[in-house]
Amino acid sequence: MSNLTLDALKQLMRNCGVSEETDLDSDIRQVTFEELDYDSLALLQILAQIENRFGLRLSEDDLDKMRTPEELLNFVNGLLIGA
Amino acid sequence: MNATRTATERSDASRPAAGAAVVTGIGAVAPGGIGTEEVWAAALEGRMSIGPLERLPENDYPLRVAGEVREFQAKGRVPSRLSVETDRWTHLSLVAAEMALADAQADLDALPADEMAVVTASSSGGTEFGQREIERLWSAGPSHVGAYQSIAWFYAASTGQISIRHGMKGPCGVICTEEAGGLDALAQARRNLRDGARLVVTGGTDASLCPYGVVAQLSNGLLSTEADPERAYQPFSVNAGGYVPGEGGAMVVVEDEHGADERGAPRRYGEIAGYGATFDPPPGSSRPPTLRTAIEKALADAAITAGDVDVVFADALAIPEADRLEAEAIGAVFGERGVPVTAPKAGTGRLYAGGGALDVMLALLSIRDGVIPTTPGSAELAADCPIDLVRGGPRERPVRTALVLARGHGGFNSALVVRARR
Amino acid sequence: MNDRRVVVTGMGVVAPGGVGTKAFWELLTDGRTATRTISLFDASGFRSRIAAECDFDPAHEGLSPQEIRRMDRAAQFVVVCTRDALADAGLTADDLPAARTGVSIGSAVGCTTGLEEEYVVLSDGGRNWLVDHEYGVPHLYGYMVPSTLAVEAAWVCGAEGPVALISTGCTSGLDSVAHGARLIQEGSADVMIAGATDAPISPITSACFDAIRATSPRNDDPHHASRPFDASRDGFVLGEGSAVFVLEELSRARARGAHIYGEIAGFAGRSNAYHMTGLKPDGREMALAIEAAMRQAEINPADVDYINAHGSGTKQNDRHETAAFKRSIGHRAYEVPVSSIKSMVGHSLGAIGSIEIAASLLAIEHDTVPPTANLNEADPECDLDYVPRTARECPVDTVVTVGSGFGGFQTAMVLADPERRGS
Repeated sequence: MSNLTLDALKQLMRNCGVSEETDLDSDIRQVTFEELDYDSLALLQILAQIENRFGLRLSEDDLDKMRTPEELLNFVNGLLIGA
Repeated sequence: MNATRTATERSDASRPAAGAAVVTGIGAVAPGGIGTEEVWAAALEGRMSIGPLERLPENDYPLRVAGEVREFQAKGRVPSRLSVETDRWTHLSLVAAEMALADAQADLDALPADEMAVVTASSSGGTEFGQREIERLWSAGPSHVGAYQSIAWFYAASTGQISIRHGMKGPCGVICTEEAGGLDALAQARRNLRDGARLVVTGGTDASLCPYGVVAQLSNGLLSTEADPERAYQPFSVNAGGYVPGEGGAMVVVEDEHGADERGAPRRYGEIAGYGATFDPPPGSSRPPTLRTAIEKALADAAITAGDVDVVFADALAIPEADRLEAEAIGAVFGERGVPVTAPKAGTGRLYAGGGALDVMLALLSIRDGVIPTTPGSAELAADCPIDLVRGGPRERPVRTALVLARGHGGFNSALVVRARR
Repeated sequence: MNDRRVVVTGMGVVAPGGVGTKAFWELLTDGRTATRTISLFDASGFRSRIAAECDFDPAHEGLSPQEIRRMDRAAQFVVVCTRDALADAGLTADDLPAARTGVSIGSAVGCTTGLEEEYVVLSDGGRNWLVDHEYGVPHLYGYMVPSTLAVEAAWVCGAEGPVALISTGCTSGLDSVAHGARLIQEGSADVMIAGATDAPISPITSACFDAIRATSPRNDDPHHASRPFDASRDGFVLGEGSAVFVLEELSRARARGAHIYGEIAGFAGRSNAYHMTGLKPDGREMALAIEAAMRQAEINPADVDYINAHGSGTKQNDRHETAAFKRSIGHRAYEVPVSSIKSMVGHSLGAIGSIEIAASLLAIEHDTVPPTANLNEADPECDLDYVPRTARECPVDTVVTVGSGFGGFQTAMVLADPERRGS
């Protein structure tokens, strides 16, 4: 079963470090990555790790559709279901 | 606080001559300690901070010892997000820069951002970060190279990150002249002040004790392969058998003296009073090396004579021929045993871009405290090194003017004079 | 500042499209592009498989077998350019006043290519973290430290004055020449060999730009992939090359009757202090650098005949820089021709600043502005005169050239026909 969970996404975020002001254990699903202090480079890093893990190709243009963890999970898992 | 004219206005009008370039803050992270006073205390003790190289897994490399800052980890010292996107070399410089700014009590919000700058030296950039990424590329494939490789490994990473972290928008620089870099960066900072900058964070660090870094250094044929830390790095002695590398360095805040007075900077460690840089003739040339000329240029730039210098912090490569040449250059200017010479780096290792900066820090503290740190080690001096090497303990005496020397691999010679500013 | 002025009396160029200044200028004025599918390594697994490569045969360019063995490709470039620049200036190493001659070379990635090649051997293809210590080449340390590139240039000319390697990312090639000029101005040298070199077309460098999607993935159309200011631009094209100049104090150059390409009349650097790779759209700090350089050169916007842009071809850069031009020279920005030669020779990182100085000086020499190739339909937010596709003959006495790079560095330089200012 190919699916990206919130916990798995959180680990990918942790791999990029965690801002001292951010609590990843709180409900972050609808908080923007920007508010969580993950910039464009961090998102590209996260995307690359998702691509490598699941064999996907994601465009940086898709970042517009993934501004929060929930949006990202929906988008990625949507592709995985279709794959 | 009371910002007077901006750099814009200053360069438009005919400006009064720039004041002295004074060091108002210091931060050091080096073998021996994290923090200026810790590093200074270790130097005064003559502590041997070189030890068995722990950073590498079990190995049979000819290099057995190094100057590591074992207690230094980014966690807790560098913000988490920043630490992930930078190499250890940048972690060291970020922490040292932060310390220097705190020491200078610089209220950065009150100073014009465009008049603050950063100039660092680097010798090998983000070496360990780069080795990890290049390993991912070749073992797993190009898509496994991370998003941070493009900003972590290149030689400008530390300058860039310090500039961003502290909001410094002036002319930033990066100089790579191996061990001479730290002095060259300070000279560039002084130029920036003359050109209208108000405050410059400068200095250097290096961290290259990862396997590929060590192996690359071993290829220069100059590293000591001695396993006993007490005997591994013995410059100017009959046992000189190469140098020991180390990691770390120092960052300082330099300001135009008038600006420092205006904002009420609490400290004046000293002035960057003089500088000279030369380059040796190519291999095979019959022309002599040019360290002596660099020294003379630095003295002339400081408008002083040899007799004004109270101590020389030596480059101290610990290769017999290089030691002989350095002793000869010092002797030609100061007379045989004509000035106290010291090489505290025998206790920390050679820190490349961090080395010159650390020596400048030690020189400034010598001025502050009236004591010259010792050169660790007690082996007999080489007969062709007739210098007054400070050994067997620190030498207490007033220090007003210090000369720091650094030679970079390939032929770089730099000399910097620091002087008390009272 | 005192009265010491700095002029360029010789240049050597190794650029994609042809070795040597003549081939370089012909490429630019023809509006041809030298971007192609990468041939220097197998790029089949990479996102961007395009680069602007130099057809460079080191033996043909006069390097000895020992030099070729020892030198990373970037070092080979800079040595050839240094030799060419001296010859172009009518000087031999013996003519130079050694103690008063220095070197200032810029490079963003140093000897990465050589460092990577050796790494593959010593790590057994990336299998071993603890790399082998016995099979490394003796000059491996020389690859580890970028300062080697300045050493090699210094050895060509026997310089015994101040020598430095400047490594400020993509502004290295401007900063190194500015540094050289500064040393002459302050009296530390009378002659400076100044320029830059980079040979970054290697797996690790390509991969790191792939990772941040900065390079163009237009792999089916490499010749048209570098499209600064165009609405369909999609990243820069990695390039390589070198340009080196002989800088002399003006009175010295005149005394020996040297040919003068132009004067380095002003230069300034600023930093965004915002993000390592991101740019704010207002172009504020680049504008400040331009203004400061113009002040040093004592010129007004009306004096600017050509702006040689950074024009890397990323979405964000070209907008940032357009805003900077407007901010710094106001309505004049709509009148001055602006072009990016990266459209033709790609982005050689630290080297390109010097290569663009060469193009700017040749523009002054020949009263011709090189075009921006591949510019078919400009981005509506990039609404200046970018000299699309065809070079333009027009009087060029004063050029502003700019650079922008990772770390947030922004540099501007003013190059001028010294006769323009009278003397």
